[in-house]
This record gives sequence, structure tokens and C-alpha cells, in this order.
Amino acid sequence: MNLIHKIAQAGMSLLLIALFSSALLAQTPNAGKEQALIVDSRDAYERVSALKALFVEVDGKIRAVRGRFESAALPLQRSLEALKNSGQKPEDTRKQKAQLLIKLADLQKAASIEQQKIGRANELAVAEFDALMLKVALELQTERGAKAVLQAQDLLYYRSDCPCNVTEEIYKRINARLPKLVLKL
Amino acid sequence: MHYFLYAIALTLLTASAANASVILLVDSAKAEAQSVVFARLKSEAAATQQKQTGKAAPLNAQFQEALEQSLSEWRSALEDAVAKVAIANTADIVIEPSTAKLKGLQGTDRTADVVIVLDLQFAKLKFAAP
Repeated sequence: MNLIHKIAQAGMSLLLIALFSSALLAQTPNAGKEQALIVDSRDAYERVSALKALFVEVDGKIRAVRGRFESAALPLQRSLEALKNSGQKPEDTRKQKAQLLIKLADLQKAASIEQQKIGRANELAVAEFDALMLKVALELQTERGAKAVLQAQDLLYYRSDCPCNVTEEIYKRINARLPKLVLKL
Repeated sequence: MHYFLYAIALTLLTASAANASVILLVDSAKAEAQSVVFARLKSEAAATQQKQTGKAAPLNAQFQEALEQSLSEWRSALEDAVAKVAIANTADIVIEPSTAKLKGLQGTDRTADVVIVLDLQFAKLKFAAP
């Protein structure tokens, strides 16, 4: 009986050792960590102050170009209208009309070139943001020992309050490191 | 004393497991292929075309469009069904197996569960003939 009791006790001790070993192994740096991190950057234009300011600046510049074009084009359009209603024969006004139309086309082309320049500068600034976003995401991946960082739009579902969702942390770090995005025109 | 130590060890194990994110895999293409409702709607479309035109297959453009229209209801509910299955399994992330493979992630395949949810929801869905 005593022997059986001793064997049972030894068995229980072994079981305890095994349980503690598993628990300790599970506490090692890479255990229990998220396999993947999630980033939902769909509202970045609202949450990243530099990006928000860039959007306002780009919008303002494009509106200004449009405004300048419209005020320069208006007198030409009025002159064209006046020619139409002048009662003169079309052959007599053809040259004037053609000159006005050429001027209008030139204005339009100049405005379009200016808008394209703003568009390209915007793309470059956004690329700067994208690069930082990627850098911060990789930093977090390394810090948390995750295998991958997933974009929310690539997922079928994610729990928004999952600790694996690092969107807030990413925005926090980007806002701290990127106070402004410069529109290099 | 032993029981007390068991409890501590188990608590440690449970706490560490709770930190890991739960990933499920759902293959949307496979879900369509496994769906009974999908297969039934396709047969209904072929049978209706057979009745109207005397030819079951291939579906003509009109019937194909009508079939796609019927299937779209099932397809558009996929996201909700995935969310239901995810919540039931207390999952954190659901991804396509192809994404998991690409990113080197592992998860449990729950495509069959999603198909069950959708097929139950659309058990009475019928093919709307053009």
C-alpha cells in the first residue's frame, strides 16, 4: 500500500513538473504572441494630421487653379458669345472666333498642366506617408514578434477590439514622426 | 497543495493562450462550390431554360444573367455569414487560405460552417427566370 502511495505521489509530481514546464514555455518571448497584426488605414486621411493637412492644401491649390482658369476664360467666353450674337456673317468673324478659341484652349492646357503638377506632388507626398506607414508597421511586427501585418481590406473579418489591431498605435507613431507632408511643386 | 499548484500551472497556460490571436480560414471559391443552394439554383436555371428553349446547357446570356442575379443574394451575404462564424468561434481574424499561405499564417478552416449558415439562410431561394 505504501509503495502504491509512493508511486502515485511520484506520478503527480511528474504531472506537475510537466504542467509547469508547458506554462513556462508558453511564457517565453515568442509564445502567445499574435501571429498577425492588423492595420486598417482606410480612415488615414482623417486620422493622420499631416495627411489631412495635405488633402486640404491640395484641394485648395486645385480650386485656385480652377478659379484662375475660370476668371481668365470668362471674358473670352463672353467675347465668343458676343461674336455669335453680333449679327455678322460667320465668314467675317471666323478669324476672331478662332483666335479666341485658341486662347481658351491654351488657358485650359496651362490649367491642366498645373493640376497635373499638383497631382504629382501629392502622389510624392502620399508616397512618403506610405513609406513611413510601412516602416512603422514593420517596427511593430518586430516588436511583437508577429509573422505578418495584414491590411484590413485583405481580410474577410477582423475583431476591431483585437489586441492584434495596431491601427491606433500606427497612427500615434506616424503623427509623432510626421508633423507635416510637404507638397513639393 | 498539489491541487493548488495544478491551478497555478493551468492559469498560466490559459493566460498565455488567451494572448494569441485566433485565425480562421474561409475559402470563398470553395464555399460556392460546396453550397447546395448554389448547385440547386444552377440546376433550376438549366431546367427552366430547357422548358423554355428546349436546350438545358449551356445557359444563354439571359439565363446566365438571371442565374447570377439569384446567386448574388447568396454571395452578398457571405460577409455576414463569415462574421457569424467568426463570432461563434471567438476568432480575431478570418482570411482566405491563399492569404494565409502567402503570409505564412496558420488557422482553422471554417469554410464548411460558412456554407451551412448561408445554405440555411437561403434554403428557400429560388431561381428567378428571365
